[in-house]
Amino acid sequence: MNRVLRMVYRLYPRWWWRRYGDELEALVEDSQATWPVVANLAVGALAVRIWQRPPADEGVAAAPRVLWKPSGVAPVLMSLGALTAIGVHILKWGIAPQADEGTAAHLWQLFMAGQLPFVGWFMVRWVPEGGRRALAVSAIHVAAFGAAVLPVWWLHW
Amino acid sequence: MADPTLLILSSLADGAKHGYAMMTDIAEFAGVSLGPGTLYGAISRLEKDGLIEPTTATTRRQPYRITALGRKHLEAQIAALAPVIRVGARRLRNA
Repeated sequence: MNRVLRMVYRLYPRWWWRRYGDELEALVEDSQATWPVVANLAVGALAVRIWQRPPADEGVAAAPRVLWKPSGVAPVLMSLGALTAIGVHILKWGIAPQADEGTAAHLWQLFMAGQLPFVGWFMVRWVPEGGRRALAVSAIHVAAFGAAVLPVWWLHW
Repeated sequence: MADPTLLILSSLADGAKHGYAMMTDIAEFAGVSLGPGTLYGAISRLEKDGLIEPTTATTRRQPYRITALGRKHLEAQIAALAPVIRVGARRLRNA
């Protein structure tokens, strides 16, 4: 049960856990850890992530680290990869639509679909903790995604 | 009535308590069993809003007390609920 509890505790945002973690652990020790308690903690962690924001100073302090998390960088790199696939295809074969989907199309699809879990994870894990700068990273994800979709839409591929 | 913030403020109205003391007190006076996640989610919101504050703790069990603002908030909430309870009770009697 201790192992499960440690996993559930990790669902809480770090800024929140720094402030209340010790107290909450003490309370769970007092009230005994059962499965309903574990479920309540998991739901509580989710609620904190959705509804609560860190104090302004904590958010700003956390933001620079948030920018370079794998889930922050990966979607941008994957959108760039998708754009590169389009660029290489245009250089080699021009802008005319091809009868069959080639390597470039498959790569583009992989990059675009593959980044969605990273984007989703970043929004759930880091946006509540990272404040405005983390939101800006999410905006960059959306912009990069749009930039990679735009040529495909524009050229009617 | 299961609004955890109102239950916590009511529990703290007669003095400072730590988390476990609040849980047992609330279970006694309201018959509501708050889980630790629910309790601490509400405690952190109430502290952020300035309605409760931590007192000096000697162990990991941190006591909290209601602030003047919290007392006002509780009074306002009770005043808002009072007519609903009164009317509800009267209508049940007359039904």
